[in-house]
Amino acid sequence: MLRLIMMVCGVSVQQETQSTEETTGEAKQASVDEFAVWIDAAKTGDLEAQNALAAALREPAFYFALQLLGNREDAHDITQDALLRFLGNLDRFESGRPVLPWLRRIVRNAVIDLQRRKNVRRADSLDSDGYEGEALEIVDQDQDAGRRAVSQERREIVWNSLGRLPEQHREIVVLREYQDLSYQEIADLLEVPIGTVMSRLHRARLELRSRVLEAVDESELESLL
Amino acid sequence: MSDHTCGVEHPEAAADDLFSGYLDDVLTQADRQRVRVRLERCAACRQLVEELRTIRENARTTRFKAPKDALQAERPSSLLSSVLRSTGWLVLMVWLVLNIALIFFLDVADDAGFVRLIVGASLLGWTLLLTSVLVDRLRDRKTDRYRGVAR
Repeated sequence: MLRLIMMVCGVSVQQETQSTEETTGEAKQASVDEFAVWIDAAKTGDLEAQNALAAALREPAFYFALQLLGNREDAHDITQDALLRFLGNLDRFESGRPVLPWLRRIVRNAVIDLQRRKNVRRADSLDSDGYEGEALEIVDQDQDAGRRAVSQERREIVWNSLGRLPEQHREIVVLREYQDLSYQEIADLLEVPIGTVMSRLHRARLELRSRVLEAVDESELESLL
Repeated sequence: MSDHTCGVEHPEAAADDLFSGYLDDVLTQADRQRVRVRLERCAACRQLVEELRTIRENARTTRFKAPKDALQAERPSSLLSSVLRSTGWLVLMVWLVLNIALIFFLDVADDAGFVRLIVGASLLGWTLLLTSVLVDRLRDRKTDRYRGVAR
């Protein structure tokens, strides 16, 4: 009844079943079989199957785009674009295969296209002030408000520092730390050897650490970390 | 490439890259042992690995706000439900004003007609609002065959 009243008031209600996986970008996904059913139906032009696919993949696509771009508005645009590309190229996709790797590839390509349109060279830093914290949600369950604030501050500093990395380093940190991909999955997506993934990831982590240190005094680093 | 000096010579400069592999537990046993030996001999290396580990944990526990499209499911999805919802809110606002009048002009409480008006406005307003939600839900149930599919 309370939920009904809140809906009447136009208040968005958090889904009761929303797990922490969903808020980290790893949405509780339909199984491979369910995706296969939707994809097979969507290939025949079934609009409801296409809607189901879009609904299931919207959040994973959004979170990945947000982590690459740091900007919710651009992430929304990329999500729409990526879902259209996904649905428009279903004929090229074999329905029994995992969907998320293919979706990530589409999102990544859409992000690259956006950045080219914005005339940002891949090898260069965005020369930005970093990512803004408004994209983050406060979910720390710590009852102590002070500790909760410190935890959130730590995450915001890391997030902000991520936005200051060159695109190549930012991308690999996102893939490993925020998307939780294995080295093999990263290698497949970036089409580089696993050794390259390890060395590139290490350089990216070192640079991220440097950016975090720039954001805080060294004396505060111990308390922060 | 290293951004620190250990004060101890390490023949394999490439071991630096292995720190990330060590952190992610993807090394072979031989490489893992090489890294452990280095960490035992180098306090700066140990500190570096711990800092990287902590930054990694902060990144991995970061949560993001859902895309704003999540709000769309809660908005009126048809003209009928929009009209019902808007009218319902308007009636409830009138009801609120009547209640305020009742508080400041208590003599109207003796007026049975006024009391009926207040009660009626409340009932009508809430009925319109809840009906708008019901209309949306019935529409969703009719058009979404995949609603019951677990996600």
